[in-house]
Amino acid sequence: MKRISITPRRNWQQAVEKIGFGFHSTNIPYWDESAYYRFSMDEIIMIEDATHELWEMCLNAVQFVIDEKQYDKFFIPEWFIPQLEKSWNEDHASIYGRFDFGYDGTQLKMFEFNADTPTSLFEAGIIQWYWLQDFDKDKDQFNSIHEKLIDSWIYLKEFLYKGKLHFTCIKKSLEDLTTTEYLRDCAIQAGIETKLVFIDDIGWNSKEDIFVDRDLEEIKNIFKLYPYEWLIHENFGKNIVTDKNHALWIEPSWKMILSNKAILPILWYLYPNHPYLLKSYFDVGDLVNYAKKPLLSREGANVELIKGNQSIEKTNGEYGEEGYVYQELIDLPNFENNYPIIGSWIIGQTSAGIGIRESNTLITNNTSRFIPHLID
Amino acid sequence: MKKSKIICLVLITAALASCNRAIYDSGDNDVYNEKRSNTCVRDSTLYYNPLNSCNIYANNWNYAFRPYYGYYSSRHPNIFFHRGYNRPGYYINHINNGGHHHPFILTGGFGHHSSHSISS
Repeated sequence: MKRISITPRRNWQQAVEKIGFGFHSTNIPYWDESAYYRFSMDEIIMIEDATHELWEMCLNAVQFVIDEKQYDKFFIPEWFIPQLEKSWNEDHASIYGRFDFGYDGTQLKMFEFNADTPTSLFEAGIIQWYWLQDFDKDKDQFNSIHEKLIDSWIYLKEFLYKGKLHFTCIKKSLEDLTTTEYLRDCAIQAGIETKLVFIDDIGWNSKEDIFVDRDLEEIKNIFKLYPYEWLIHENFGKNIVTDKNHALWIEPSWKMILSNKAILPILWYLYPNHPYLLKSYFDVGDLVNYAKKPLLSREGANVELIKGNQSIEKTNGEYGEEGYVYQELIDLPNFENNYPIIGSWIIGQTSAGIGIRESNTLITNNTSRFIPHLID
Repeated sequence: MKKSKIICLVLITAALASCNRAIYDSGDNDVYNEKRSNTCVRDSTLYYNPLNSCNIYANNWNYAFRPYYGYYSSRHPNIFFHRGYNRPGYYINHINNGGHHHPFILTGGFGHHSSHSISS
């Protein structure tokens, strides 16, 4: 993996906006094509293999947590457990997830699995592909995200209840709306009838005990870009369980296990010394250099890095109430103070591509930049 | 690694693209300021037309990024185009968000974290 500095396209903002990418910049660029990462095919195959293997391991870990009733470690409320188990036992389908890897040129290590509400999908699947067509269309990219999304929706179509597939997210974020609409775009191309309803416009028909959209149309299948830990603790959360339609939620609720950092020590317990895993515990254990991560957090909030007895980096935030896990700290590759994380997508059950996010700090946070890649 | 060269988008491109701000147009379609090589190509998106390339999905145009069929203020229909949106993309004020008026329908039971982007 090499980082190559380049000159951005002259009209790159216009180019990316033209294909629907409206959140490319704030006061700093989020989409950053002043560099790209170059991978060898061997490296890509390693990432692809690791993604497949970790996905299998994660599914086994879900089974373990359910069999062993380890829900308290995940702060999953008791009343929701039957719903979660039902989703697992009935094999409710998942459309996507993103593993975050650190790669130092030799070792590939999983930092976490964004299993419930991963974002940067549109950037990885579409924007960086169009960048490559401009930069060097003869080069390849580890990217069949778009094709695999459509294929996965085609496959999942058979398992949906009769009726529309609703898509929901919050109103206020163009980033979330773009991700949601992109997924809906792929579902439409798979021949699924879809409809968007913003999360706070979802209605509850208290006479029939069903969810409805703004047109009072029943919601029977719904993709949500809204995390379960928020969903179930809000006023309508318990209605998910009492819903007479038993609406199919995508991602399914068994993903609550994988999106929780508590899965990291569980994986380490099940697969000790696995080459793609970092030592992880529910306490510091024998760790000397480690990352302290909240069970539930987003965008690197409330993470602390400790080397020896020294705190070397710490982020603020509003998470951590549920507790923390402790994960071995490894050195990220440092490209002139740019620290890359590889986000590797699993679409359906298949490794589908990568997106690189880069920070100037060791903790990847909400100021990280998306950098395109190619295979050479 | 890549299965197809042509990507069809029926929603995002057709609709989000309509929110473009043409403020970076230099009047020149060369992609790079400095030619890297003879393989340097022009902005491929300039040739991209979602409807032409995805005619089989043309019926879905009804869905095209107009959730509730109107993101724009009825009093200021062009305001969306002139507002820059940052990464968090706040544009709630431009959405016509009428509520339900039905005795058995409750709303607002989800979305208490609506000021947070999901980004993860």
